[in-house]
Amino acid sequence: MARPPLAVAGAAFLIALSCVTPAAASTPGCSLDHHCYSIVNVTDTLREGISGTTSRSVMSAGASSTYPGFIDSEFWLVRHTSTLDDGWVEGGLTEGSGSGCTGLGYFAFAAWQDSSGTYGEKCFGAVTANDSTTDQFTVKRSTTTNQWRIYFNGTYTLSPVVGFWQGYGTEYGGEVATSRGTSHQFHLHAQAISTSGNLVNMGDESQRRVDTPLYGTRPGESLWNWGVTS
Amino acid sequence: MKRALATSLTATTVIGGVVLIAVAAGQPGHTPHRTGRIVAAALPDRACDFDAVADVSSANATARELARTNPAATVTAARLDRAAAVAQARTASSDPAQAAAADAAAVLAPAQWAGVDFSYVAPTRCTWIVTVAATFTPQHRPSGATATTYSSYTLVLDAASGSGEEVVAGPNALNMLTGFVPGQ
Repeated sequence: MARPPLAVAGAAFLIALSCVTPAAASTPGCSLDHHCYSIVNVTDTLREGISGTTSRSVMSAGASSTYPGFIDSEFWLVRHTSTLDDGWVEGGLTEGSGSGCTGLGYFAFAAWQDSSGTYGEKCFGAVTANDSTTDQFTVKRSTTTNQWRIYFNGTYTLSPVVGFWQGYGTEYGGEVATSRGTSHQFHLHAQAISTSGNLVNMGDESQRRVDTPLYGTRPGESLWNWGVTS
Repeated sequence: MKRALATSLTATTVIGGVVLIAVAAGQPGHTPHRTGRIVAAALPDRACDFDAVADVSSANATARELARTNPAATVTAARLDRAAAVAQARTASSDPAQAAAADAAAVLAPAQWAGVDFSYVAPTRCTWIVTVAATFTPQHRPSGATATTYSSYTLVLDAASGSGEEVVAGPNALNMLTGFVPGQ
């Protein structure tokens, strides 16, 4: 007679325990304070932009109102004259908790930091994850000096005047700022915009950064596949 | 009897409150809880339309997709008042407890004036531009860059739905507490 109540109590305890136990760390070591990357980062040639495609693959930061975090697949142009903090512009896909994109969700976004250290982030808006959808992001000069257009599939937003109009750094791949990140594989293809205004392959793609537990492979020139190791 | 009980409860509450205040005041370094103020903005509100909707019929497929999935592209009965907009903006701080006690200022203005330039958002659509004097650490940065922490930030929200459109922080950022507008 005593067993059924004990079993019920035990089950209730386990259920209660599962509700208060933090989610498993699928990307341990990655956090808002310590971002993990799986990227190609080329820094040897002066460029005037970057253009590339990324699959809109399923990804999750495991974020909540009490656990902020994000995971991105994106493209950067970095000024990179003296330090990495003297300006950059980026565009890409993000999942998790955003600042510009309020609330939780899967969004397309643009962000920049100008040469004075001013930061900005614009939210293109919510999109629906789909591994078979391909999105294009382009960072290129606008018609105003030192201002950039960040394109998302042909629609674009403008940065402010940021104090630079070219950069030595082009980067593309994934960024994870959560210990609870998961993803399907992302397929990226990126090209730089040369000082002649032409789309060209990246150049020395031996410069890469792949932090555990992310992975990254280069199936060909200007190509990068990345994801979270499951 | 009911009246006596009510009186007793009130007295107890008052006595409890006095005790709590006395204890708190006696603790070295204690900072009394402060509710963040909504202070007067340095710039005036501007005429705008809560229900303005962009015509995306001739836009590309992505702009039409964004218009379908984003509340700032639709007419909604919802409205954020100034207090609700500020409350939402406070949650973007990297220190929510500090943000809850911080000064903030909000201005209602057309999306175009706020710098919102997405094709699926009507230029005259009302936005809240809210500056909060609280810590903000931006999320995105390239590999190797240092995380910068700012002492204030400005969030731009769709005034009808509350959906986020932009956040800025730093010396050249739009600021409703100081009245700074880039390029002016």
